[in-house]
Amino acid sequence: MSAVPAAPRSRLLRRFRRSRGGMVGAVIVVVVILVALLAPLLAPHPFDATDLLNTWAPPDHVNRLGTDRLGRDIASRLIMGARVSLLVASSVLAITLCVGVVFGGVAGLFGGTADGLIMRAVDIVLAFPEVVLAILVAAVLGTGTTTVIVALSLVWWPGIARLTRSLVLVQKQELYVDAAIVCGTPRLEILWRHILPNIAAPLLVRASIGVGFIIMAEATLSFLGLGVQEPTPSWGSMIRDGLPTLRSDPYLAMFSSIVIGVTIIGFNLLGDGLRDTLDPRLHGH
Amino acid sequence: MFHTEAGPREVLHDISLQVQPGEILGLVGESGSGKSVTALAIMRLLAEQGRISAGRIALDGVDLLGLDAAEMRAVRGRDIAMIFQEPMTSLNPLITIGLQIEESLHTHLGLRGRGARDRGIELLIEVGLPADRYDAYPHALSGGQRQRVMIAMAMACAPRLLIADEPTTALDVSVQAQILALMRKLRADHGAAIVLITHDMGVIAQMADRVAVMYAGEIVETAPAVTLLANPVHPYTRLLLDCIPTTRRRRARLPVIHGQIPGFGSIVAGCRFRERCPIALPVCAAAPPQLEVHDDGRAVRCWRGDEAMTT
Repeated sequence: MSAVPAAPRSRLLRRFRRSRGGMVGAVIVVVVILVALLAPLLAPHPFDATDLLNTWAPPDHVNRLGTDRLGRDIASRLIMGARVSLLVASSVLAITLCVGVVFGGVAGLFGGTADGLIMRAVDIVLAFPEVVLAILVAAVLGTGTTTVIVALSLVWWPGIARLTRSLVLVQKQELYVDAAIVCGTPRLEILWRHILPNIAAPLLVRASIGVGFIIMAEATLSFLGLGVQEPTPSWGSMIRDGLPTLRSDPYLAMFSSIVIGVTIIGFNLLGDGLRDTLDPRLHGH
Repeated sequence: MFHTEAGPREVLHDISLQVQPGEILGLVGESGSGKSVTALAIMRLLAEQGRISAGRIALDGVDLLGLDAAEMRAVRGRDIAMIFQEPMTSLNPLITIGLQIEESLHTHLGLRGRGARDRGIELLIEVGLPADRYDAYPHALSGGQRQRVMIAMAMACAPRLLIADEPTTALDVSVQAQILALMRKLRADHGAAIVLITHDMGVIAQMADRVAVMYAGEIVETAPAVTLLANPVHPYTRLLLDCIPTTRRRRARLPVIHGQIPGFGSIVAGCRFRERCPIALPVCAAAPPQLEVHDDGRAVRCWRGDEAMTT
């Protein structure tokens, strides 16, 4: 038995530090976030300065990662692109997690009519391809970052809602939920205090995997001209720009993919680390 | 009444139980006899397909069936508390036991923060756990300790009725004795009425003031514990008591009650026990016996009850 238990917060932090993957992920995510915040200071060149005499340049000492088809510095554009990509990914995740967890949780916990209505709404949304929904949103809001966020949120919440509902249904069978009901705890409080912490782990994993998908989806929408507009760079649109010349001038697609890949791995490691840290069952005294 | 895919099925029939403050009522019967369903019905926790088609569940004269959902929620935990059979899974694994004990305190008494914590620690000490376990997570406790936490949670608001659904079944014998002693102490300290559900006649003998024996969704015999254990009347009760191993009777084999309890879809006409009854008569198949009340506070549901009383 531990003599004097440390305050819960510092104990969590210590546990998290012990998870190596989680720390690596945290470092990557923090670096990416810092880069996004400090982008204008870090970028070696203006992200939109074209140089038509120096297009598709390989990496050299001026353009460390080469240039794109308009001669713009890839490194600077990747640094600026972190802003858009992270903004889109984090907004979409925040919105879909809130909406999806609330609707999925209510559907799973209350069942009956609420369940039927919510899950049929989910089915309807899932029946549309995401691009169609995005075009619909773009028609209403015009193109731009907001459109991407709204469109992707619309497409994403049903998946989270379904996942949450199924997780809640499993937890509902657990006796501790009955025990809480027997204590007279209101149902929404049972959802919030008892069930949510128990389903947070799979949701976290889902969210960290989601970052990658959202970045890619943002690229698709930008490709169709619905999303982020030139000259503002986003990682997804940079990959898209680099793909046609992959054989002759691979640097644009390659470096953008590496940046996205490392970022996604960072979020996944962070998600895993958080899951392990937050579960007291994995830590004896 | 349960609504199943095969149409409505009557699960409990004519259950009438009374328990006074400070009294322990033992509810016994084999698996599937309807003990737990009775408990859930009292708490109004039957699953969606379950319905109470007739009757009254009164607590101090207030009919619980007449309460709306919010009023019923206020009763649960404050006036009636419940302890489950499985202490290993009845606690939320991600919340410290202290916070789980505090839950009732703040739902029903509005206690928060320091006040709730102090009261919670008092409860923890009252059920015999050291105060420094207050911030422990359930996985760090043994089954017996968890059941003590469950009892602390149940007693948090000093309920007038405590329903214990096989509270000691999942525990080993020495821990079982400690938990039973704890429940007796709480009864003495708080004067709560306790409904103790079990299939263990030994537990009944130690704990109960009165006993109700259930079979296939009916009460077949109810009597003061001393009377029932010394002189069982209903053939089912007799057979149940015969099945307890003793040190006095040295028999090669324990007797067995042959056959199985009828599923609630296939309940036969007449007496529900007659197919397994060693003393069944033609009349037992003809009509179901009624619960007849006798002078010594006993009630028996058997056509040959009077006969057995006199012999």
